[in-house]
Amino acid sequence: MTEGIRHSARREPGWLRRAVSCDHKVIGIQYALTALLMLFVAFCMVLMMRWQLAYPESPFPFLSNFFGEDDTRMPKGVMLPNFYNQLGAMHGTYMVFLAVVPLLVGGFGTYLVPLMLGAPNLAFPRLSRVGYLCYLAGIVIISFSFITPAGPSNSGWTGYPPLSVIETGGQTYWLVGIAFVYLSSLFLAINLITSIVQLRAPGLSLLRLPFFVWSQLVTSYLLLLAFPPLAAAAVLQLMDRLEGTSFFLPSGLVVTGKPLDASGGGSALLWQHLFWFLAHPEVYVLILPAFGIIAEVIANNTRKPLWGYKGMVVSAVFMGFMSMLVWAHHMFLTGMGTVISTFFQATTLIISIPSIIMATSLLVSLWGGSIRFTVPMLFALAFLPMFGIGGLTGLPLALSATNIVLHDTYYVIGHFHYVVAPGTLFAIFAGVYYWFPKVTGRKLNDTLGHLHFWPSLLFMNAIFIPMLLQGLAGVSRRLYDGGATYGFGQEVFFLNKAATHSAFALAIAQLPFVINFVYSLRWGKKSADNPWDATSLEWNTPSPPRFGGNFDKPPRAHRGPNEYSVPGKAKDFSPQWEPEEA
Amino acid sequence: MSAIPHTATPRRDTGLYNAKVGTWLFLAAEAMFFGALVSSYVFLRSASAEWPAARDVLPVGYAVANGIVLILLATASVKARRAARAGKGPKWLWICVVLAVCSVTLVALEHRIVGATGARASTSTFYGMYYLLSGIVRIHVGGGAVVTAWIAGPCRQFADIKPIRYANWVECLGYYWLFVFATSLATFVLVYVV
Amino acid sequence: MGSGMIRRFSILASACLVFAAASHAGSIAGTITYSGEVPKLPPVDLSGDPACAALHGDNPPANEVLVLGEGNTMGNVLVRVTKGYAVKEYPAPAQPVTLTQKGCQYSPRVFVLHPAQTLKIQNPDGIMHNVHGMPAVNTPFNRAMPKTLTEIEVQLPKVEDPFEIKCDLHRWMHAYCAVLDHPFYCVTTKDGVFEIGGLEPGEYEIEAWHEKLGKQAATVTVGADAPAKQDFQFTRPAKK
Ligand code: HEM
Ligand SMILES: [Cu+2]
Ligand SMILES: [Cu+2]
Repeated sequence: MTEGIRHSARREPGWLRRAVSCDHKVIGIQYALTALLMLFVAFCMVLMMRWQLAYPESPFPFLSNFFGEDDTRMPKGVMLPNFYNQLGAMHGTYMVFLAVVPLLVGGFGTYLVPLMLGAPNLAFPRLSRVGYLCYLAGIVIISFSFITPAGPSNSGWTGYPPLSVIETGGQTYWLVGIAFVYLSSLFLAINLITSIVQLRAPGLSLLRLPFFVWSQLVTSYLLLLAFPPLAAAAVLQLMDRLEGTSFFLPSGLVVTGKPLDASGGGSALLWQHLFWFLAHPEVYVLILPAFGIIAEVIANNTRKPLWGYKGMVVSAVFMGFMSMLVWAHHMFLTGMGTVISTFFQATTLIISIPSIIMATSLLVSLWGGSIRFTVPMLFALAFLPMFGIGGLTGLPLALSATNIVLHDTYYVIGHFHYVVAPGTLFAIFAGVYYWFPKVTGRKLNDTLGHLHFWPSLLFMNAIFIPMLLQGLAGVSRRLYDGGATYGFGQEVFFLNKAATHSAFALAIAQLPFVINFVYSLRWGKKSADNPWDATSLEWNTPSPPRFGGNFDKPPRAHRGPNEYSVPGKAKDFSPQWEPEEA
Repeated sequence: MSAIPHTATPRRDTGLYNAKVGTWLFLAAEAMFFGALVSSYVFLRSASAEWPAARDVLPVGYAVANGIVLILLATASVKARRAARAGKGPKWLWICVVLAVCSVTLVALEHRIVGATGARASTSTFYGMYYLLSGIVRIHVGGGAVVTAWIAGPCRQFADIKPIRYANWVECLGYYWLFVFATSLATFVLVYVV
Repeated sequence: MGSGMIRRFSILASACLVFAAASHAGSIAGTITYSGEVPKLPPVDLSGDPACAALHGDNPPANEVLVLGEGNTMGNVLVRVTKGYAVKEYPAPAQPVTLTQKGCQYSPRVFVLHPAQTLKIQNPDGIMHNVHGMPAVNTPFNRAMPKTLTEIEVQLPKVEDPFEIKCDLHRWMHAYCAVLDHPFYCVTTKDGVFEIGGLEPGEYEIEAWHEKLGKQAATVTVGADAPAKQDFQFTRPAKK
């Protein structure tokens, strides 16, 4: 039926016209591809770092001849500490600001939300084009610092002063780049919220929205409200670096033996407050849309409505709200006083409740379902325990007493990577496998999918469990030699090799995915419009949805988002768009 | 290409048109931005050993004059909205632009005077904050002036083609000016009165 | 104290004396001594880097902050003429100055460089160091030397008072470098003796500098025949 309509549609514009158009699908794909590229770049950076951690001061394989004796980054392929610091700062920055958030919100959000709403486009199409350009500008500016003589910023993705103010690397590029990233996520957030509020199809009440849309809504609110303080902080730090103000420089600062030439009177802690006011909500920006993806995939593959949908929605909203009240749990060691510490310790424990509710709801949703073990479902199933480990390892960090021991160790690195790597990244993979047929009209290959999933699951754990153990042994993070020259590093140094070998194995395990992706784009099995027998509105479009308008006729929602296996129905799924038969 | 709903007329259940929602969201983000700057100001001020009384070292007269200009500006923007809804000409929009230019000039003069005393942003965190806050207000007024002029001038044709949307734009612009007025008032109170 | 250190001192000492012997004109000579209670300095604590500790076994190097000989004569004091010498261009020594990091210790600890002379910094042990020079007049340098990087060269083209060079990885590693465009200086060894030759008769201002105990100045009149005598005595500043 849809076939006929598609052929009768007027001729579609050429690829160039489309590439610069303001269609949300085009922009969403551009976001996703750019962000995937950034993910790859950030992963390569960390592979180089991992080599140095396992084999400190040994030339990186293949690279030793590319770099001369006098190179200031990797003379003869040996990574210098400053370059390690720069790569570390850039790995964090690329991953968080340039890869995962743009992928989840810019890619998945921009592409899917209008479809799930039954809307022809986002509310402000041109704004989303501008937002994408801001994102590109951010990438260009931050990446440009790599080819400057001083190299990129080396003060961590957190940019803590005083180091970030006095450092001679690319911190200025970092700040300006982050300002552009801020603009891009501001425009994204405005667009998504307005669309969700205004563009819902008739019948699509708030509680009929797929959980994915709810997760994007809360995420957008977080971006909207939490990012501006970091933008303000970036302005202040730019003033410190360029105008010589001392907003973040305390009085009496001595740098390498000399008193610093600045008026002083500022506070380095102020930056930490402003930074974490964004950066804590930012970790929910990294995890909430992941939950959204997983919820859709699980509902579809268990052939059951989500268990506790309303509870999940309430939890997501509550979590979003609370996430702005926990930031100083990153600052227990700054001596801010026990009263404040107690407050933030309490809020942090409270915020773990909604995450547990959401994870539990998803887990319970599996109960009694006739589970289809498709590739997206495998990733979704793996997500649950991986996120579980990430969340549970976070509890000791939330308590200020245990935090004293664990702060700034590899335990922290292990903890949050469990959340963002086998957690969020697996959700991203689940989403890619799940919606690929909708976006391209072709399915990804299952065998290659299995070849991708199982090794990835294995090696992810083999990377991050060693980090947790090293952290418990006391190994600090941000050490360029993996602890080789430190007393505490001796006993657990061998774990560096385990983690590094696993990281390289993980890289190889991504090959099936890359091959699958490229191959299926062209030669993959043709997909029907609704290949997974799914229920939400995006499956009511042709695959791929029509350029400039999405739906063949404006849809109407007749029921909730995940009405699977409704008793008394012939089919095991009741799509939102199908009217109740009389 | 199917049209995006509610660009002009409000959606029934929310009672809002899209641009209004977008503007409110934008201003919410702006409020957080100013909020962060203001909190930084309070943080630094309460943590610092000495903090001069702004009334003694800064030319208050200019700030007061600027405040009056911004009150007028906010009022003019309300008038402009009424005019646009009634389908009248862009007179009030242009008045907004003129007032905004006045305000920007006043701040520039004020900075000249403060600069002549030898005070730079790097002199102390007090002066750093002063230049920063007043500079940010100035950027907002200047940016608003550009957009207002753009809507009053080049976009004027839309007043005939899409009258409702045009009036919507002017209304959103009015919210922006009210916001700028409110924040600069808050800044003034913070720097000079508290 | 290892044999390496003794050898190093004898090289330095002979450099001073050879120079004095080659001079035909007058000279200034003297002895630097330390007065007061000698502090008991513990040996260098190398535990921060197990690889460095392994190089020394059970025999950690002595602390070189204060190097004293018989009768409390002082080593590592830089004595130099600050005023009175003929201001002209003195050629730079042909050889570069070499600073090694053998055994996770800088040697020489105190040395002088000519503005046109190259400073070679060597890393013979296969241990990463990070040389961080902190001149005030010249451009500071901060270079990591992984084990694969055995030698780097540094230029310090401007005249400068003694400044510190430290290792950012090993907090016990310190060296001090002065950049002088004339040859009228001497760094003492343990015996505390210095002699500065090649000076025309006349009045000179000289200065003795020690990394921790500060500097002292004196005015000396050099005659045609016998060396002018000028001793210095350092002592710990009184505790406040
Ligand atoms: C799966 C591949 C990944 C590996 C092997 C990996 C490895 C690492 C390692 C070893 C560090 C610690 C560096 C140090 O402290 O010296 C690190 C830091 C970090 N990583 Fe990852 N990571 C991966 C993925 C991610 C993802 C997906 C994200 C974010 C969404 C991320 C965000 C960060 C951040 C923010 C830091 C801290 C940077 C800093 O210290 O400033 N990483 N990563
Ligand atoms: Cu946090
Ligand atoms: Cu060293």
